[in-house]
Amino acid sequence: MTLAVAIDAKMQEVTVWTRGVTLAKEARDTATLLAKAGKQEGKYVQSFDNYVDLPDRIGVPVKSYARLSPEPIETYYEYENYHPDVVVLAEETLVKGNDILKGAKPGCVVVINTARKPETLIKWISPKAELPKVKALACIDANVLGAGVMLTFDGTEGAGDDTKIGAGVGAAIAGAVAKVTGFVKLESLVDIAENKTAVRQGWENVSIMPLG
Amino acid sequence: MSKVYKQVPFAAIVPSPTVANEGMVTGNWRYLRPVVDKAECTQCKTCWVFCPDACVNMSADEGVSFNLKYCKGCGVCSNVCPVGAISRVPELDFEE
Ligand code: SF4
Ligand code: SF4
Repeated sequence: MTLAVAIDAKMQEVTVWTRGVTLAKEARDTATLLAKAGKQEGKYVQSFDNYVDLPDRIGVPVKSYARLSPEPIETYYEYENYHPDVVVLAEETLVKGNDILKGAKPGCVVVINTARKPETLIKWISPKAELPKVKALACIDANVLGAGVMLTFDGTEGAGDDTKIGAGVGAAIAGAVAKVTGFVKLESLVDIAENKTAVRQGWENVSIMPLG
Repeated sequence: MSKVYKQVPFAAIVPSPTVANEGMVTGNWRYLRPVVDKAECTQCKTCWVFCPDACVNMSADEGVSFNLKYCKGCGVCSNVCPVGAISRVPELDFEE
């Protein structure tokens, strides 16, 4: 049992997996949007990148995190989400060859940015022993959502960040996560995201497959 | 004294991994897999020279193949191939 579980029993942990450099900004946006939306609703929040993954390289699997709690979060010195309630994949291929469910809490939800059907992805989810803990697998094709498509090098390896928070696919993914988990309200996300259409489209177009 | 001195490796040179480095498996960086069309390939070895991770294997019988445990899908091989014999296919289109 890690400290987070011991002292922050009500804390919800969101882990967003992505690809280094090209998609890092979008995953960071998804995590930041969820945390900021939670804060707007009076929750206690944290959001940060996985320090161990940095500096990233193009294509490397990296993670961004969000934490939300109705109570003050006591966990300050754990820099990874060891027990995610939600696992988000900003790029579909991450489902293959990564232990995305490691440490997942029972009843956890997996959200994948993909045009593929949830049924076709489930065979790759790893570690297999943790699969019974997954309550639902949700898929959102964020890459095709109108103005929501954007790849950027902004905010990576010291580069300046000119784009606002939630201008690209990360906004659509955040909308999908909000709908599947109920962690934050749609209105709070729309309120703070740069691309409000993408958030709404993510919320509307996510397909959810209940498991177990 | 001189003997001991000669045993010291020059500067920071360390023995290179001759086969593979288990501590740095880069196969899961890949989301586009290189696939060679053997009918097109002229076995010119350009891809073998350019692959930054030494993931291209050349054999007289089999021609070009890729070490998928380490290939990070960067696409350099496909870009340098003079006859366009290497295509990049989404990794999830393959079962294994
Ligand atoms: S995709 Fe990159 S790493 Fe893979 S074989 Fe081609 S050049 Fe090498
Ligand atoms: S560069 Fe192209 S033609 Fe040359 S060996 Fe590689 S695959 Fe074959």
